[in-house]
Amino acid sequence: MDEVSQTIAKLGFDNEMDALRHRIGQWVAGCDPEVREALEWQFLGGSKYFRPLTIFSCHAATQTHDRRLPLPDRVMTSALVIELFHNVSLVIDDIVDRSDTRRARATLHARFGELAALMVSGYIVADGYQQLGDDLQGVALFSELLRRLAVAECMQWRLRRQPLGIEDWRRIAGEDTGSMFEVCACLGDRSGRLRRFGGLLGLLYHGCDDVGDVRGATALGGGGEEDVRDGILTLPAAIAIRDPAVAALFCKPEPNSQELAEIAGAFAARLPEAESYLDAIAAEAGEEARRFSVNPAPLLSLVEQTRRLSGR
Amino acid sequence: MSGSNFARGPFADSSFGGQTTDPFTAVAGAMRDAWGLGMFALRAAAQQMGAPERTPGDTFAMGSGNPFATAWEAMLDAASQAASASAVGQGPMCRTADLQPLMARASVVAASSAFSYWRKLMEVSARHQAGFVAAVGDMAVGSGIAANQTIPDEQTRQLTEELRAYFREVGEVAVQEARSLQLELEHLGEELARASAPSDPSAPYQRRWKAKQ
Repeated sequence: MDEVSQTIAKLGFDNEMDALRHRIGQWVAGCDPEVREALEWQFLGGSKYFRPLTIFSCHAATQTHDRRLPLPDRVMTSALVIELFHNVSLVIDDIVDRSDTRRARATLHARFGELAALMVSGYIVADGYQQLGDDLQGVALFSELLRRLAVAECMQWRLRRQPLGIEDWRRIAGEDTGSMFEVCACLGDRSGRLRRFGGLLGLLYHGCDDVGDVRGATALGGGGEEDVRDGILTLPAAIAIRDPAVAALFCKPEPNSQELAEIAGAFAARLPEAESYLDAIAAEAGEEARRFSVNPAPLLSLVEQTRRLSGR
Repeated sequence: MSGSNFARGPFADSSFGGQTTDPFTAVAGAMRDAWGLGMFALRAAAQQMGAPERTPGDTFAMGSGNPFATAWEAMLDAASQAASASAVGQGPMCRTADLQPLMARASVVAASSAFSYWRKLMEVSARHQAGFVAAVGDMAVGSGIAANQTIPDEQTRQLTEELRAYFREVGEVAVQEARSLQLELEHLGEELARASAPSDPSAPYQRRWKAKQ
């Protein structure tokens, strides 16, 4: 059983995930033949499905009845559309980061060209909204998501190579991945009570990803270079650049390979501190789950699974 | 932050809030004054529910016989008396007297929330105090910072970071406690709605009608 299947099984959403995969397959099959090959490449290559899982978990956490009851169609459609929009953000990220591979496969723009990748992104967004039909609350939440992601990406780029701190990292991560999971939580519970839980989960996810990248880079003697090269404020970076010498290197417009290695080494040295910061966020998310949900068990499992992403 | 807003309030005579010397002392003073105000509000609420009045001098006393504990006990007593006084009312809530236990519970929920808020505020302050001290090193809260002293860049950044985290957490505590209170009051409201619903909802509903003349 691969890691994704294990996570899904641990959270107990095997049937729901099967149904979602089926919906995604159906959706791709019904798209215009001109873009279908690109969509198949993007959607049928595998995913961690953390965002749909967050929607399912948040829905289950607000239900007093047995969660084996079939999911309302609105929740399943939300899960489909969040996966669609998440993929749009991946396609755009890969173009911006000039990444040629993702999950060991060629990225959409690397395989089909930038024009096709950008046009397919537009196609996905337009069709995503159509999928929502008369779910006006869903439309509002997805609009909020796209606005916030756009702002977060601009903010992250504007604030690169600056000697900022953890609070700035929280702001950027909170608007980037945080907004994504906040919206997932709202789509699942539909009352807004789990919004902050979603925000904390997104922050945790973003931080674990940052730490995992540094850990992968250390283990593989490279990797995760894009963020270091572009001076992106990750969690380990925010901690490491408290040291003025590291901050000076981090802020250099064009660091050479030796300097990049020095920066990566400094980030790796601060991983224990980053891990304990992530533990604190996980604890906060757990407290939110216990205080604001009827059934916190699925949310606590979700936090636990997310916390593992740092590869500690 | 130049001085505490609370310094002009009922705790203006406190040594922290009244005479601030540097920003760190001012922050600590503001938090102490905030705590004092919280106690003041709680005591006022408790007195309304029958707790004995206390002199202002015992405001900060903690331990056995402190005013908060007394006020708290009085509130719980009042709530339980009100609840037991009308425990016989099992049917729909149609008389004012039947609402008393619910109102008493709402008061206890509100008072618990206020207490929880102030307690968490103090916990946040205590947790960050160590960070402030570490950030300013020898120039710790106790000794103050002279106007002509400059803090090295690294320490300034660490201190700024610590203060930003502190401010964020203070805001978060307020929001979280308010949401919690809202949720608990919603539950009480739902309970009230259920209790005041018709005793037999399955009975056929007969609409009044009158033929048009």
